[in-house]
Amino acid sequence: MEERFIPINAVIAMYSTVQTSWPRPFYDVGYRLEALELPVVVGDDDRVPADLVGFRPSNNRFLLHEAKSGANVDEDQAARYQLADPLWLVRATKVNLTADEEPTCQTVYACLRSHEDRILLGLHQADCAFPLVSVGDSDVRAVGADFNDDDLAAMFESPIPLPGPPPGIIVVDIESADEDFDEIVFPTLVAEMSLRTDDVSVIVLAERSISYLNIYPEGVRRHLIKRVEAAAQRAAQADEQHFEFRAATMTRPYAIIKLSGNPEDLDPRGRTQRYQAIASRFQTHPRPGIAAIQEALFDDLDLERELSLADEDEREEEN
Amino acid sequence: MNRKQLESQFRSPDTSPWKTFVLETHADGDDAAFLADVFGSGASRETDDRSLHQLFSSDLSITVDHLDPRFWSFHTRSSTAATYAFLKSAVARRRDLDFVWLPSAHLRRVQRDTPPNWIKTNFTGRRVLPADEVQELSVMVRGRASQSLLDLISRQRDHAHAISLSQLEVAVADPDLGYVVEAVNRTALFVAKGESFTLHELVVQQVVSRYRRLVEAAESLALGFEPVGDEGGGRILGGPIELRFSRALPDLEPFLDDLLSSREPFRLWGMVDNASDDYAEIEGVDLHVGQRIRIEVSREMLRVHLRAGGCGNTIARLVANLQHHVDGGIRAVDDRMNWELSVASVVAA
Repeated sequence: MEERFIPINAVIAMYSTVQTSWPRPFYDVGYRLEALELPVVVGDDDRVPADLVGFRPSNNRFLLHEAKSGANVDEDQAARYQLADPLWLVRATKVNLTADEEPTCQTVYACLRSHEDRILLGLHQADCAFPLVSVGDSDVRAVGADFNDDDLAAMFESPIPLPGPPPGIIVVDIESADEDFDEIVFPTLVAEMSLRTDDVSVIVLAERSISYLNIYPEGVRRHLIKRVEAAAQRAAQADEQHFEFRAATMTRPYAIIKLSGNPEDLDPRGRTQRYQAIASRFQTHPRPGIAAIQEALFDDLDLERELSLADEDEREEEN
Repeated sequence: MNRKQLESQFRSPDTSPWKTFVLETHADGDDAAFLADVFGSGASRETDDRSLHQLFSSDLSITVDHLDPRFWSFHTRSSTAATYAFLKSAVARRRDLDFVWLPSAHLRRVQRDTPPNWIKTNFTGRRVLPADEVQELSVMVRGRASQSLLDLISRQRDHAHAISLSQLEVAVADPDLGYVVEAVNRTALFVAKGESFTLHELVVQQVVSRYRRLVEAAESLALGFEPVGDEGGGRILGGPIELRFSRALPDLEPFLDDLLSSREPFRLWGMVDNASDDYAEIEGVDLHVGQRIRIEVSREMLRVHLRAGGCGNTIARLVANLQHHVDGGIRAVDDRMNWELSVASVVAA
């Protein structure tokens, strides 16, 4: 995962409904993540795309998150965040209002610890008093303005220890390097191969490579599909034996990738070796020789013997 | 063939014990067509009961009970090895058919109140663990006190990782249903003898019910994205499932090599990114089912991103095989997952 995705993935993890070793201060206080990449209407006809929108049903508070991949604050963007209308957020996220309080919202920025000072300065220059969630290697802390939710403020009263990098939910965007697209597209081609697919369109390939593709607006989706197409071309160049790239035509307005030499057509040993060969062409991580395992077989009971026969077959397969 | 005849066959004396294999299936409603597609139209026959089919192949005669739409029982008195090979071949060919992969706690809980007659453990971590550790441990303990001996080893911090149940036998008596002896292995093969087919089926059903809850718990946590409008924006559903090792792995490198070797038991293919001595990210493929999967690994944990629509059996299989080859004490961080993985009463014990 690129370092610039750590802030957004960190905030997502802090809302997670599933327990991991990552802390969940927003979830623990009662906030739920309602949207990613939500275009938030501000003013009469302006928008600001919020990276994340959280909502706490018990007091009708929204949090708009801007996860900074770098160290610069776009002052105009920050100013627009200040104009976000909580009533519009209710309509856009379609949350149910059950508490008596009027809906409110607060913008919260997030960044890497190494960018903390510059982001704080940028927010100051933009005259925006937002809390900043600063993600370090070993802890996360809140700096800048106070949260307007006392429970959340208490949660961030002192730095919260982190166990390591956050789960990688968002791993590529249109600014990602070619190699980052290769890392998600090549495995998808292998997955298609293992399903005995004869060919796959770049559109399907993109949907299966980028599981969150459908949350982006059309223009961004098209751009991402183009990047996936380019990665598919590189895959075909790296492994001509298994992948053939066919560009779009007059009658087929999208490129496809033909798959051949399927490992699934081979016996188990040949199949494993073929997959390992594809892996070595695509990368990267060296694979060692496979040590044989010899295990003692035992038993003299009727029922045991029957089970052992099955397990013996399983062990042969593993070797 | 019908269920009465099945019961009669179970009770009749035979030189070969009764076997029930359980497979996880995705037949999508048309069970007969699915069986014909998997095993060949000539191999499958209808019976008096629409939820029972018979399969024939060379020397094999198998009765398939597909009353449970997802977990099918394959009953036979034919050779265990030949039946296993026959079913394994079908599982290998298909992406909609898999074995059931019982975690140790599920196996241990086959019959809650009755101590097992014997237990076998089988841990084979030689590819992953260094030579100065317990790399392999196969133990057979006979007697009703078997579990207490294994518990003794499990409490040894340096050796707990090497306890992974692979088989056990339990005698089951029920005041209403009678008596059976069941030997069970970790891929849900039940070898049975006794007087009550109904009791045998009950034992199988209870094991499958616990396993189903585990698989469905994993599926309920699967990671998905749902668009909220044409202009962009979406909701996130679920999250990654994190598994914690009972102690830090001594070395990540051999673990990754084994995990991503594309061969049994894990059958994972993957590209490694951001690898260091302590952490790695993997964009991979579960070759058992052809599903994309993302895994993040450190020496302390393994985080699996099961995608929405993915099969929870992927998680169960991974956990069972990690217990067998890496760490018998692995657990899930999420409470519900851990509850279903450990089976509540075992956790309490």
